Amino acid sequence: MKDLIHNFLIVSVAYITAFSLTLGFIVPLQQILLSNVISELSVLFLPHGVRVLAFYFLGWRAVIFLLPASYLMNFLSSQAGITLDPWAPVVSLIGCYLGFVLTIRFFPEDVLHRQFPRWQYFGLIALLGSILNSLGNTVLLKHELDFLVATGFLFGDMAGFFVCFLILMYVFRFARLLTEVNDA
Amino acid sequence: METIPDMSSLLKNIAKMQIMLADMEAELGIKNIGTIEKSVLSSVVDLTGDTRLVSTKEILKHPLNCDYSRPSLFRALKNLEGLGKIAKGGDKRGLYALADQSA
Repeated sequence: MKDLIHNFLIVSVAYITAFSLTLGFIVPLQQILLSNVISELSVLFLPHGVRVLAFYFLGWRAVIFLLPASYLMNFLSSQAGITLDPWAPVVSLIGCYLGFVLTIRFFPEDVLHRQFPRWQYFGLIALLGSILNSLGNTVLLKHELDFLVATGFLFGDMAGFFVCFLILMYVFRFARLLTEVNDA
Repeated sequence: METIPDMSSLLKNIAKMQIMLADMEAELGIKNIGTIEKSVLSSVVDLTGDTRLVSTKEILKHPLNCDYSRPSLFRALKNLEGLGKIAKGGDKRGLYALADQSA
């Protein structure tokens, strides 16, 4: 039970942080630099990296853990003037989870028997999850399969995933540096 | 659906994530080298000013490295070799060159 609460809190804080960075920093910058891109679409959607990690480490439970934070951020997005479909969080999470399931179904040996997963494997989960997520969100947004919008979602998710991992890399590097300073 | 056995442990997950990110760092070529490695690499750069190859003995005696123990310096040499910063060169043992100069 304690582990579940820990995991829920970590996943929620990570998701809210990543979404806040996207909503508060990337989206306004995007509206200035890329004004022709629709506001519902972020070209650098950082929470996708959090979703990928959550599904990899927690499996199906990540859907439940991520749902409250997803709805909170959906509500905050609408307050900020970006109205998303009420089903968008559910569609995104199920899409990403199916992508994760497909990855471990078709590439099982890597995830089950490798002690040290390689980052490209997470990239594969991110890609398959994002394809399903982008198709689902495009249908919700446009009520048809607009491939240009779907490609935009896919690009935003993958760029966000990569940058999210880069940020995590530097967070861990900084933590190591702090440890070295404290040890000295 | 249970994906990976024993994945409930938070520490285990963090360790796995750190290893995966370290792997990413190495593959992207942005891995941060340690203080001793930086010192050894600087001494190799300094010593290769006149000659292409430098001996382990010269590296160990270099003023930049005098504060470190022999095992630490040998470990740093091995790490730098692994990172592709320096490479063994020449016919004799214990000779090193900067990686892009070794052939």
